[in-house]
Amino acid sequence: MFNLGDAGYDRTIMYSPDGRVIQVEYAREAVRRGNSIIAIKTKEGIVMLAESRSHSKLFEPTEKISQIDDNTYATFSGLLADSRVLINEARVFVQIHKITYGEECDVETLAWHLSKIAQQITQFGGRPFGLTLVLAGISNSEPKLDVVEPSGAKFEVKAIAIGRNDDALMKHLEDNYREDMSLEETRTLAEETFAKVNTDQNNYELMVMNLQTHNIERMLITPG
Amino acid sequence: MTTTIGIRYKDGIILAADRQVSSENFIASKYGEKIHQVDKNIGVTIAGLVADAVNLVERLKAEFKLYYYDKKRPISIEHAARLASNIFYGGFRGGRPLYTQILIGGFTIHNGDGNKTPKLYVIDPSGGTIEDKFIATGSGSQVAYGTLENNYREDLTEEDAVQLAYKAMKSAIERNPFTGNGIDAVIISRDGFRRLSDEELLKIGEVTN
Repeated sequence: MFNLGDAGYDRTIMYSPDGRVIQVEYAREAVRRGNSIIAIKTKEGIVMLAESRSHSKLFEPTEKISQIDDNTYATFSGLLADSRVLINEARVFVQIHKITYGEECDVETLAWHLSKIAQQITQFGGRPFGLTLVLAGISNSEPKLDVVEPSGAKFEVKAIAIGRNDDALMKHLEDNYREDMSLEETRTLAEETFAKVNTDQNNYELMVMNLQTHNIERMLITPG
Repeated sequence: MTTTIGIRYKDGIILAADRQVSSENFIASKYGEKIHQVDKNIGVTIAGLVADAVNLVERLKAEFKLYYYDKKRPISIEHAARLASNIFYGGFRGGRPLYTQILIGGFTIHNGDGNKTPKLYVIDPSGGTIEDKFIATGSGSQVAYGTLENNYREDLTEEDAVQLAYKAMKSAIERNPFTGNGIDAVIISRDGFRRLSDEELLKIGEVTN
């Protein structure tokens, strides 16, 4: 990915001669080395799975899926410390939105706001966020999954896998995803997909959001 | 230009208020909602400038939600009152005080604090906070206090406490020209925040009179 003509340009957020912003690419690398996460939406709701890997069995588990609002959740892959900043920003933003407009903030509006913050760093200075954030929520009675990248790019997905082994995970999702899956099938798909790469038998967090009942189930699962 | 009442009993808090919104000697509304739920187990009554009061209530709701998402447990009533007091004090010292006075009362429930007692506070525009067994605020408060002082007992049941709140509100409506147009009341207990329906209040009225 690196050629001699780019030398030196990786220390700034200026363009390299061939038009790349190399700090952003490094941030993307930090994401690629992060814990695996999977998020899938269907007509019945959303399932989020986040690998909970720890350096020692003596460590207490850290939260990987965070509540942003009544019906909005977030998970991420990348630097844990950076995620706290973005998640706190998200929580405050939805509350300010509620006070300003008297209505719940939808996922897309929140994702636009966070992507704006991430983009500004890549243009005006600082170190880009070392994480990709996935936002799950319900907007106008529809499940929504929005993704915010270190570059500030924001896009909507039906299903996504990010972090370690993302290529293999994504391939499995692409091969097995159906729009008409039940919530139970969706959960199974998420767990099966993750099991493909979870050779170390790491724990994972699960969040299952039911669109009909608005019920949200969360659990920490130990495989095997 | 309002009367609000809070009563603490063994298992919870009763908040009551009239429905009249006055603008000097004109009645701006006969259906004002002066009791607000700001968290699962916390209620606030408002008196004074409506704009400041409603703004404060919305701010408190947001702050308590953020507290919940951060700490994974609802804020305790003691900390909720402190936070509200700090907001008032900030405005007061900053030269832009909130022209409102609130009662804030509720019940703390979270793991490990199962036996916490209910608490009731009044907070004034400077942030001054008083915790008490029963409190009345607003233009009819002196009339209401007469009834409360004479009838409050430590061993009030929920039913007694609702009746006492009703009685005190009734006195305020009868003798204060800026209080009237009906009564609202809520019960905050271990079971949560519950508004009394008009039918329930009507029934209490029949028993009390």
